Amino acid sequence: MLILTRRPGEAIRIGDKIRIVVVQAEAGKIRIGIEGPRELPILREELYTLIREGNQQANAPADLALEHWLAEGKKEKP
Amino acid sequence: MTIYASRFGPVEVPANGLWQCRQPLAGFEELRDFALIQVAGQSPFVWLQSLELQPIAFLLAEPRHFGLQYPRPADAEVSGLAGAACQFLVMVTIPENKDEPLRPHHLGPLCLDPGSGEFVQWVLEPGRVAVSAGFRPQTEDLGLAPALLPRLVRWPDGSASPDSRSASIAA
Repeated sequence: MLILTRRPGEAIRIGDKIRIVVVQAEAGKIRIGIEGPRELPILREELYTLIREGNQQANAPADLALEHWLAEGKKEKP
Repeated sequence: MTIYASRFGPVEVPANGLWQCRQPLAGFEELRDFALIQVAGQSPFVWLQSLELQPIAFLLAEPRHFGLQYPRPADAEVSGLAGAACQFLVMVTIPENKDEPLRPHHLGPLCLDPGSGEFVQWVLEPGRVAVSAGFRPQTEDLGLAPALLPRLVRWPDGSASPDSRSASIAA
């Protein structure tokens, strides 16, 4: 992992399209600004993890799980 | 093209049945090509089958069956897809404990653009969408959005149109 020291107002560039600016640093928190292509997904890591785990849970349910679920009527009634 | 899916066996996927993921799905970054498969008798559910890894298939349903509603995303929020054209489907988890309800992946709905055959997972902050009220199938209309039907693969071949309103779930 590359580790850099920056002060508020200073920035880091990743390639020629992404710029990360330290906006504020105080009380154990750092506010950062990110400039990059609008289509570039930027997520807090905990949200990324939540989405990844949800994707993995939704992948490939056990064979016949849906068929069993449909057959047994394990649904909530409207 | 004919693909072999672990869950279904050989499936014929016509050119207009191909879907491409514009941005990688978290946890499945290596996958780009998929087919949307409607299995006879499983409405309102459909499968997003990977064309690159046979065992990978996600169970999907329209958000309305979980009481979920999403705002129209800005194009940039869905990686440059036309947000106004989005047809939303959510991944669904079948719990191992049969007494638990189906769980929609409500923070990461898939935005599908039938015009381009591309989709992307739109990630929302938890406060931006209400938690699902549970699975409440809209049994009056189990069919998918009409815009998706031309890009749907029906399995087995020749099965009834998924647009029919024959309910496969006992209301």
